[in-house]
Amino acid sequence: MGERTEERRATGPVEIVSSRKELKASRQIWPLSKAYYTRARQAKAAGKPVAWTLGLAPPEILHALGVIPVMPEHYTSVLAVKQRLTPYLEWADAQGYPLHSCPYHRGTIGYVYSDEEQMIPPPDLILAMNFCDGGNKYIRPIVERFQVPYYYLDLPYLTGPADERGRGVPEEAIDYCAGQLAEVVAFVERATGTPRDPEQFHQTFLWYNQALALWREINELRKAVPCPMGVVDEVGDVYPLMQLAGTREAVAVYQMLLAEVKARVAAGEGILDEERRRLIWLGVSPNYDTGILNYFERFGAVLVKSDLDYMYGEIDLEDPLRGMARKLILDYRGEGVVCYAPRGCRQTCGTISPIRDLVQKELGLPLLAHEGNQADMLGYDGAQLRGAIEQFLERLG
Amino acid sequence: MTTMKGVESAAIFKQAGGPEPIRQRFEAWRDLSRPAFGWICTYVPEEILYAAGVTPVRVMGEGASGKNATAYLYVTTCSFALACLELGLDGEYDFLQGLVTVNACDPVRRLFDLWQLYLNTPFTHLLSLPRKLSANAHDFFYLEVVKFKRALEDFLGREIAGDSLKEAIRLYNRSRTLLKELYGLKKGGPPRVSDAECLEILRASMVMPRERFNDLLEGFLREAASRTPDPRRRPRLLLCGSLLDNLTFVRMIEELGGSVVADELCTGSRYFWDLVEEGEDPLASLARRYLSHSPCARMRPIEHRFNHIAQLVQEYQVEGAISQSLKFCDIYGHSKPRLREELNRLGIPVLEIDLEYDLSGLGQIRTRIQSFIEMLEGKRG
Repeated sequence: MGERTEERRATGPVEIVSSRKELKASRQIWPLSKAYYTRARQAKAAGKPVAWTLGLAPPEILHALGVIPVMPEHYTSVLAVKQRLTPYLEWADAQGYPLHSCPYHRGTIGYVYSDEEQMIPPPDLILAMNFCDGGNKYIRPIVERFQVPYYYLDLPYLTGPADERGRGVPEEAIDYCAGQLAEVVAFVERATGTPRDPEQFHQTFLWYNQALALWREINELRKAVPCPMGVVDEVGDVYPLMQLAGTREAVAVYQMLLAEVKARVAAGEGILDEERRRLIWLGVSPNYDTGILNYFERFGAVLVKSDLDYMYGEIDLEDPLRGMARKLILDYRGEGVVCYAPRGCRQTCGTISPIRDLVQKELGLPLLAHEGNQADMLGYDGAQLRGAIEQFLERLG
Repeated sequence: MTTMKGVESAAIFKQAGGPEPIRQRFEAWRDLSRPAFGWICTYVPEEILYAAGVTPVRVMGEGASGKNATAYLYVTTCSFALACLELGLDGEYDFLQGLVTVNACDPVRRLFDLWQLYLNTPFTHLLSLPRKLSANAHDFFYLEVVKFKRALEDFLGREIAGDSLKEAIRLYNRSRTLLKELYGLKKGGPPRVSDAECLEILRASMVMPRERFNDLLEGFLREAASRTPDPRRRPRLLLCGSLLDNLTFVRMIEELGGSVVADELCTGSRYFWDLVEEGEDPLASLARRYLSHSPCARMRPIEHRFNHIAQLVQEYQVEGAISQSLKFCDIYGHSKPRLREELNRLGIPVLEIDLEYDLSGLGQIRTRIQSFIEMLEGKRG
């Protein structure tokens, strides 16, 4: 694929630093994901089926069916963190894939077509879901490259409020979705030649619920002052839910995390002993400069909570988007909001305006809205972002 | 109903389909006894609006650059969505009593969200549109269509009768048939109608009362069918993409020596290509037709779109294709590499272009189109 070309793609003075995790449990997440990738490669070598989940397709149903799910978008973010994504982005760009599109999709297409060996094994089947426009479209080149069976799970679009327990979801939407999930089961059974094991099926969803309950308990504890676990840890700690949901492993990781968070709360131990400001972070963060999340701490400010785990949380029935943002700010005693708008994401950027109104007009809080690109370093100026953060914190006083 | 002579029809289409923004053109045709409801995207079942006694008006962004909407929808959103929102914020769509759309794409979803938040259109509705054509997708969309009809009835305080729906279907099918005949005048030899004329007529359909439109188009077609076509053999082009309804663009192609004989645009053939089955259950027929009509690139399987394009290439003896997408459009942008391969496989050279909806920056594109047309002329020998 050629040499790494980050120097060409980043412009201006670039200050890129890795993040510093606060919790011991959080520092285990990267070794955990590496170990999982190793297991996936070994399973593939032993003839066990590996499935790629695209567009945030649910991994738990694959775990339930005895298939190893691998989430390429996560792997793409890992490449971005390691600053190794650029050549793959450039390949996709050169093929005519839109430069303005999400770098997770462009990057994935790039490494799929590179023929280079990756940490994740190639798939035996693909389960894709409609998460966004780019996510909807990048499935096809991947399927064509691997020539493997694939199933596309078309989630109906909710046009009214609903919560994660299904209250408010119209019956026809549930029927449409459930019908497809039944087809997913049949699809996997056909592709693997193995009928589902009812016990494994049941146990997987038990573990899923346990992991989710633990995550929620952790989130409750994070409301404490001082905040025992912030966004720096959260961005990695959500990984088990994204890829290991439905496994005993995810439960074990969150039990460990919960124990540590509980102990910190009991001891009054926070990210900072003295929190001058508590802030909410909305949106993704620059994967290649994770240290930006720690930067606030220099000024006595702590990023206490993000909305990264929104798909696992409770939703306000009355006003989903604003309700979620409002809840985060009030529950976590946010005194300001940092909103990172990824250029390649139309659906996120389209929410900036109502978020601004909510934070500034309704709640009277300061907002730092910064445009960026979470995985493509093109044009990134870490010094500029740090400068913007400093000014924002100075305004907060 | 008296039919107009062809020449008079053409003059009326020129006015109704001219370069002025929708609001201006609509005012000339407005029936004050029927509230106007806007719709965005060809997947909205327009007949339901018509049968409900409202006038459907296609919401477009002409007359706005979209720059004033970037504070709301962000600068990296497609310029069509930005332009529509800008016009809405400027009050240009205050005459609408309703707005209906589908979750066609991320920008349209967010356009709808922000329209609901910042504008005061009394009735707003978004139908959840599947991306598949499976049996359960059809079942689901049927229920979405039923839900839409009921929401409209609740708002208007009156029932939409089955007979009204059947009549609306009949009327709109007549438009579709006539528009296909119009496009048929570009088959099999030098076209008898120009690209600009076709576009003016399509643009007129967005604002004119349906019966009047059909009547005028019948008259136009009678006249056009007897025309002696321009004998010059211009390269026959297919225009692929989403939203492109600007007369400047097609006139430029004509000026440069090309001829757009077919398209698969949302503002072109995708709007009218397929009929609604005139059966016993009008809602079921509408749901079936609208979900499975000439497909947008958001739909799958992708072959559905490619097969349709291949058919157009054959029917209209296409020699070259212009594959267009609006800047920041993920759906059409991502589709381009694969579409290029498919068309090349059919022996069709492809020019890929990114456009802004208001055609700013057309100068550079003009040069590329000129070279493309010259290349096609050279290929003929």
